[in-house]
Amino acid sequence: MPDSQQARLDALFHALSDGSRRRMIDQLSQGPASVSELARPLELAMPSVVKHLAVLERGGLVNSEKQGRVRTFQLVPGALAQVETWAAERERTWRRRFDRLEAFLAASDGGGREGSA
Amino acid sequence: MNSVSTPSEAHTSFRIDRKLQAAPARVFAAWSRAEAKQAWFSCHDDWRDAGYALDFRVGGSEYNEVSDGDGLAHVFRAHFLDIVPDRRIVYAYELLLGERRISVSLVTVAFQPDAGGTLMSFTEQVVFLDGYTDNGERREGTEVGLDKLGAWLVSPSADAVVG
Repeated sequence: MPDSQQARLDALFHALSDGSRRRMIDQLSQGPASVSELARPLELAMPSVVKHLAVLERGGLVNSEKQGRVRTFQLVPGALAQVETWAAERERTWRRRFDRLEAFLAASDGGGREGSA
Repeated sequence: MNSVSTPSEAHTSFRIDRKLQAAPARVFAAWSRAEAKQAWFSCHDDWRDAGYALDFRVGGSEYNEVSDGDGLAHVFRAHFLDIVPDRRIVYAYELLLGERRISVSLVTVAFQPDAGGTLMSFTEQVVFLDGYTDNGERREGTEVGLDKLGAWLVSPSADAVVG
């Protein structure tokens, strides 16, 4: 894996490693929000929310844009695919194995007397 | 590949349910007997088998090593933690790619009699380590699951698994 990709993943995992940040992602999955809208349900002070958002931004999970005087944050689509993709690959490997298990069981069928086995 | 990676951990879990046309005793045997397990466990026909051992008992272990197309060793090493004959197997396993441990998992396989066959449920709780890279599996899997993550992350289980 190139170092740049490694660094990106490290930042992503760090961003996901905190409960407050995960709740912010949760909220942002409903739609874009301002810093104060994100701060309210978390009962956190603005500066710490801003810090969390910076970590999320470095992790490539959120980006922001300024509309007038208000900065709005939103989820970056597809940013979280990595961990889920690994799990999906692993799951796929097992499904292929279980296809083979089914074939193995069918091939070694002891005369079709399953019910009495 | 040989770059020094920063330690990182990513947890998740998944479950697969299969209805099998064989009684629990035969399905259990397919997991617990070496010749049977080998017949279906290896899922890359083009990879070279480099070692297999199964000591199926609580406290026992399983070892499977294959070489991929590039000659890189993929090592599967499991330790059996709980066995109820014909009913349940719980084991921990690690995957090594060359010298690197890329994941560690806890697996629960449960077998339920179901209309002459078996309902097999497989649950894997996994921690992917240090920017997990399995070059044997990633090629065809990259397009999978992109849309599932949003749903997973906001589900209550995400906090339970990740937190």
